[in-house]
Amino acid sequence: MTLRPLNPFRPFEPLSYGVRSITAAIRAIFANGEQGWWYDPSDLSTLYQDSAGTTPVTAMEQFVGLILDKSGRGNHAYQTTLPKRMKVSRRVNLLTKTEDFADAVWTRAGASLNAAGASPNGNQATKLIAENGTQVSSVRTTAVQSCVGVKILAKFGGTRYLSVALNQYDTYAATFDLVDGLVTQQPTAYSGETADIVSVGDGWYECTRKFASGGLKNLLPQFVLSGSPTGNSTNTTIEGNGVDGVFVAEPSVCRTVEGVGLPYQRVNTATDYDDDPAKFPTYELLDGIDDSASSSAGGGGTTGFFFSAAVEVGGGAGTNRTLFSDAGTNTGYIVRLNTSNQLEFAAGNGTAYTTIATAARLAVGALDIVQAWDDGTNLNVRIGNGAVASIARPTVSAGTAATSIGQDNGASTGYFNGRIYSQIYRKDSGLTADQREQVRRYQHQQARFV
Amino acid sequence: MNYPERTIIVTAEWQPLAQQLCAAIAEGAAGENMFTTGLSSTGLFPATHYVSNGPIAEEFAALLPLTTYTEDGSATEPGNVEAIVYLATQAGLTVEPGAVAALLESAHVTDVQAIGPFEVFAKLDLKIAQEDME
Repeated sequence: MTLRPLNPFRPFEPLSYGVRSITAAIRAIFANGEQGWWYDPSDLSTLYQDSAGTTPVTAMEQFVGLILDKSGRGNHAYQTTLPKRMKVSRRVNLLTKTEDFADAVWTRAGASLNAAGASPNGNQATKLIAENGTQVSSVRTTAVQSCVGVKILAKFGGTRYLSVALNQYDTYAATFDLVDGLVTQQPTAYSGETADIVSVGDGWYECTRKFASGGLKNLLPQFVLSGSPTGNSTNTTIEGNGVDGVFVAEPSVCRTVEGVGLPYQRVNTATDYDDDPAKFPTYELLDGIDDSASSSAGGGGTTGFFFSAAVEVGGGAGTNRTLFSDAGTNTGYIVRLNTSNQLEFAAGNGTAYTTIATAARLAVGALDIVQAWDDGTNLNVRIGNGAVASIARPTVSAGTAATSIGQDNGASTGYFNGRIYSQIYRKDSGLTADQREQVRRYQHQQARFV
Repeated sequence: MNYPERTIIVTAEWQPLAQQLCAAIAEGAAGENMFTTGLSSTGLFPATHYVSNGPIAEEFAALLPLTTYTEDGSATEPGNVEAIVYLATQAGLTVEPGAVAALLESAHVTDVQAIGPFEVFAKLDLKIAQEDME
């Protein structure tokens, strides 16, 4: 008998919940006609390019004018204005032309290229060769706006060391020994950096450099052939002979730690990439400028509230970024990231808002579950499975029947910048602790956390 | 149909006309409520500019000016005033060609795939306007 290996990307079901599947547990939240909505971009059958619902979304990178509500309440989310539509995507790797180092998006210095068969995973490999007489031999990409990790497969091809640098003056790059499989220089350019090297067979190593948090801007990730175990981006002391070099394949630059942990994603262009849903999670991409959607009904609750979403922050640090709102003037509920990157939950009594925020912050590049709930006694808010922050609830005055996602309700402000993997909202109930945990686990699996 | 992505910035002075034109010319409601996000150099209101960012119909993209950036600077291809006036008239909106020309002259349009919107804001010394937190 052959045992099938566990698939780390397949959602599992915690047996303790006693339901057939975890998605059935989500459906159960709405089983008795309860109001709210459930938007799931991984279910392409619920997405349409137009707000009328006549043109289905058929591929990644298409724009979304209508998201059908899976709760059964019919509270679909619309965006009638074309430029304000969010995009559906599975793009993880920020690079392009990942299997064509000869393309103009890659800048080579003192390096020539030879096609070199396949990587252990069957993807195109290339030999980077230090040109005769050169002392600096590297290949780098165009600028990347923000990232937390760089990864590449590499194999000894006559040159022993490979450095991964992040800009042209990265003196303390990460340097990898491709003979003994060691990190010979830990990077120190940015706070919280680490480097790892892992053998993947046949002399190939996975070399990874990552940071504790994202938001670094205008980086120029580059791979540098090095003649010393402490190579850097400007002086590798290599003596090129036109023959020796390093075999490389599967370069990746990712914006989240979770992205670094996912399989390699081939990217040719921004719209032509490996979008296998078995490997890469689906998300809605909001631009932080004018993207949003709204439902015409489902809001206006007064006796309780629950909202949960898996989100990755793409930018907008220092600004308020709204995830949910049915607010009127000092009425209704608001869930947002505030100017300090804390998750903030507010409920209005008609005169003022009562507000509570997490102590924890969600920085640019961070992926996590955000939950806010009104249990009838307190307003509560939590990031991931971190500490719950609470404050006594006011007597909530109903907001609007309409709900807005990704912007302030009824105002052209508070646009969310980043990725949303799924969202669940329940009106007039904070759910039970067990239900909230089920939702968190469902969204955790769906967003493919590492 | 293709939907190229554009970052379109108009000055506050021309925001109403830009909104009217987009609402009139675009199919259905696709062009309504554009240019609602304010920009200013301080990041506070009042907004001096307004922006729309995202997909637009290919035939409309062809009518708009387009600025491209290179290492040496930037270059702008002009928009098509006559065609915009014609389409507006067909849609029942009467506009002065001179006003459309002035709108296009003051507008800043870039291809999102070539340069991101926040990079454009930085080049123009603009930030998304918010309420003063003080």
